[in-house]
Amino acid sequence: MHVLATRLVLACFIATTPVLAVEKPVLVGIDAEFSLPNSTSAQAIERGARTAVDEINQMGGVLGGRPLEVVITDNRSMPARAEANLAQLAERPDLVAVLCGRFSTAVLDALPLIHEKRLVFLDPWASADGIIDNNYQPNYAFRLSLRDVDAAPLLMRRALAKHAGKIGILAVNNAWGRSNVHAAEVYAAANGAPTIVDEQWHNFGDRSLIQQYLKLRNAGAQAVILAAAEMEGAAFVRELAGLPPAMRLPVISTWGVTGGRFLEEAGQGLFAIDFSVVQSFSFEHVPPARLAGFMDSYARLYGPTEAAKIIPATGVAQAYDLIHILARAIDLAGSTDRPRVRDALERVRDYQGLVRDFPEPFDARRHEALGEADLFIATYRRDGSLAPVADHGTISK
Amino acid sequence: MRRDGSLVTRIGAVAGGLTLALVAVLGIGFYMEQRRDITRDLTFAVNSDAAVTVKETVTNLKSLATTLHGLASNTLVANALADTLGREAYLEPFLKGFEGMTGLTGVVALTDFAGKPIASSGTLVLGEDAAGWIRQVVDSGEARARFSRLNGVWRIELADPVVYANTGTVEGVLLIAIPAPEIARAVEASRIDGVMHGLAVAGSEDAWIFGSGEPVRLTAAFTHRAIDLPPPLSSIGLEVVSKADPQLIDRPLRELSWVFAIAALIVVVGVTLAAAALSLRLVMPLRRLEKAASSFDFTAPDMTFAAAGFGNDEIGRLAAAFASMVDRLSTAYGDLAAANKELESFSYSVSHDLRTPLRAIDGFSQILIDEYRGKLDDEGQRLLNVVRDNAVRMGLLIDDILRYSRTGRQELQAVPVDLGKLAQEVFEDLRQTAGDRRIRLDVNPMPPALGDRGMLRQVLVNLLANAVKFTRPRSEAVIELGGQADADHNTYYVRDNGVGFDMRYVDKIFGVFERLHANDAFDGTGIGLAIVKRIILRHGGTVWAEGKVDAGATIGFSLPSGGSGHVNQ
Repeated sequence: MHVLATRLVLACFIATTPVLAVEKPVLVGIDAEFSLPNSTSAQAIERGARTAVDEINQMGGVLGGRPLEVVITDNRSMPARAEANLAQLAERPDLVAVLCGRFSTAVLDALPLIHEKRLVFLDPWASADGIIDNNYQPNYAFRLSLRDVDAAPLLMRRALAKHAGKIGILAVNNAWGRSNVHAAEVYAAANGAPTIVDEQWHNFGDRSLIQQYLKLRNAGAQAVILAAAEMEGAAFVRELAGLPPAMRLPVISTWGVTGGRFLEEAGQGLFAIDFSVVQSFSFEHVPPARLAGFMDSYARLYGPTEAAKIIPATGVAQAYDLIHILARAIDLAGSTDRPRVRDALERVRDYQGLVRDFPEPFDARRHEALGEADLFIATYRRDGSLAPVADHGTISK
Repeated sequence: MRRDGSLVTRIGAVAGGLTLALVAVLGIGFYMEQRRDITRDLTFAVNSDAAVTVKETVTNLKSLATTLHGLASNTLVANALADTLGREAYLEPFLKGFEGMTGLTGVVALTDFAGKPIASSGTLVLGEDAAGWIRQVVDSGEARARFSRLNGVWRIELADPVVYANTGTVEGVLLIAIPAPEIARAVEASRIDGVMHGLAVAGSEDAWIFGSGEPVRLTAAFTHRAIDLPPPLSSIGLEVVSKADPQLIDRPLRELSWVFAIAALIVVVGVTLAAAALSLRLVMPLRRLEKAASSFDFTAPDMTFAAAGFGNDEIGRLAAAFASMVDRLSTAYGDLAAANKELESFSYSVSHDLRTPLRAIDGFSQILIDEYRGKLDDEGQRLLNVVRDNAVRMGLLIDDILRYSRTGRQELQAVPVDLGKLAQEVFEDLRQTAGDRRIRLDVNPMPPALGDRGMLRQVLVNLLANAVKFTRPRSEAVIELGGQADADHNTYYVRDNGVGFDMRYVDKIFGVFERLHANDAFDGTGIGLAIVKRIILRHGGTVWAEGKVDAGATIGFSLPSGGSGHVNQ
């Protein structure tokens, strides 16, 4: 049934868009952590992007009939590989833009290259503030995702809701981790509560974070704000769940853990602790009609499924919306010339996306499509989906 | 050739010489053996010391590689590969801490998979080929090591792949570049004074001294030892080179040589002195014999030699034989002296007594000529004149015999005599009888003589008269006198440019009445040089003659110098 439907869609696609077969495609790159074991973020971004591309091509493509085509490069989450990949992508003719992956660190080092090559850079996930606040003019980076400085208030308020006036921060030792810590410090300084009693760091690849946790607890922390990737976060959860219940502090996590097989690695211990995570998207917030249209498009490429099983939903939806905004910008620009497309991105209006409606996704001064108001706290369900928590700064949609 | 000198000196010299030769042979053997032993010991010591140095170098390098690998495995390093802006804050201090861990001054750097440095503990300059080499490390996933030379500086580069745990892939390289001198500096210097070990790049001329890291240019004087290192260090190609100061061999050899030379000198001198003392002990009786023999006065009555005190050995028997010989010589000399005295008295008497009949012959011949001239024909007168001439000549011969005889009997009164001055006086007298002949006397400096003035005057009269006589054919006669002082004799000569003589007959020239020329050519009886010889012999001297026909003659004589000679009575 699934195969038959796919063949029918494909036959229809070929029959209705014969012109696309001969027009030169417009390329959209995705440079992300595809081969990072246990990570699903790159694949989610790719699925969202391809779904959007498929829809756009179904509609006749861009620039009056040129199909969009996705080009994949794998950076393994390594900044050096990302920079090398972007340099190669930038040299490809008709490549109009590149989407990045989950890891802010794989982006920050490449910003000079991105601007030197005038590469339209679309960020569907990486959250470090500096990706957009980069001081380049014109700025070629655009984000439709959470940013750390916006997530911090939500995390801090969540701590207060957990009656934690004193918090400790356990962050990964990289630019993204530092970005999160900095955002929390700014919030604490501005609001007075909660207070940060200690900050502990860990490295990518560390398989135990319990010592850092115990230091935070010994310092008086009543909750822990976690900024970690899925593997380190899962290791921490396992260790925390192994402690006596009285020693388990609430954990409020940035969304870094949601980009991979966090639940599988953390195990059922995740449900033995108080664990919540910040999110910027949930299929549960999408209007039914719009969700149905997306699910149809998604099913054409990946087979019928349920929205709750599209994990991580954030990467899929945000990449999907970015591609649609990009397609509109290309048409606005009337060209694949990247500077013109960049300018056009600031002029796209009234896009109704999966994440939300975007009357004005970007403008000349604002390259952040989302803001603090778009964020919410969620908790894991046992099926791996995330359930929005309807209090403490979340926005019910 | 006759060898002068004392027996003691010769025995001492021979003994010393033989000892010296023996010591020299032993010394050469000793020197060669010591040199071999010292060289062997030094080689062993240097090898042992170098082995320690090699071991320390290997330990350091292995420690370096192990430490580097440990760092490369640290999640902080891998984390930095996945990190970006701001990682310098923790990475650089971490890398700088590496120096404290190794004790080596080098640069540790983290590069990405393409060889681009991410952070380093100091200024890192990579060669053009570094990126490719680092890519090999990334692609192979294996640590590598190499020697590189950048801007003239050799350095060891170790690269360890950094595996990113979340991907399991090599995403960077931890690289350490340490100048080769720094590797050498960190290893303890040679523990042997004068021995230098250095770290060298195999196949190059560059090396660095252990302990200081100072560069040194390799020469043929260095020995090489390859350093066996495990992978990846094995690809570096390191050597430990060693050089020992030649003084390490030469100095002890020189000191031993000095000790040996001093000991040898003592031995040689000791043996020489001992030999001399021993020989002196042996020679002393001989010297007593010599002294006795040389001081014997055979004219003294009852001359004897006491053989007692010479022992009963060969020398004692020699002394006894000598005493016996003295007795017999004394007796024979007494008999000979008596015979001589008797013979001289006889010859004097004969000569004196011959005068009376000779005078009678001469007188009566004169009467015949004066009173019977008219009665004799011419032949008779000529024969009478012949008789008379021969009588006159016989008278002269008798006078000469008497003078010769008196010369032998006349008592000597030895006084210092200035022969030069005396010769001038004699020459002036002779010149009176030479008419208008041109005769020149050259008197060269000569030592004063010790002798009987009258007899020495007679010597000069005879010699100068001969010179004047035999230079008669010369338009200018040149007579030269001279002399010199020798060790224990003074020698004198009278040389002329006269007719000379044939050296084949030199043995006859001092004989009584011997003449080398015809009577009618040069007058005289042939007694002059015989008298000269007798006077000189009585003074303890000697005479000799040299000449060449028509090229002059030289008559020489010697006289004992003052105090050392003796006069034959």
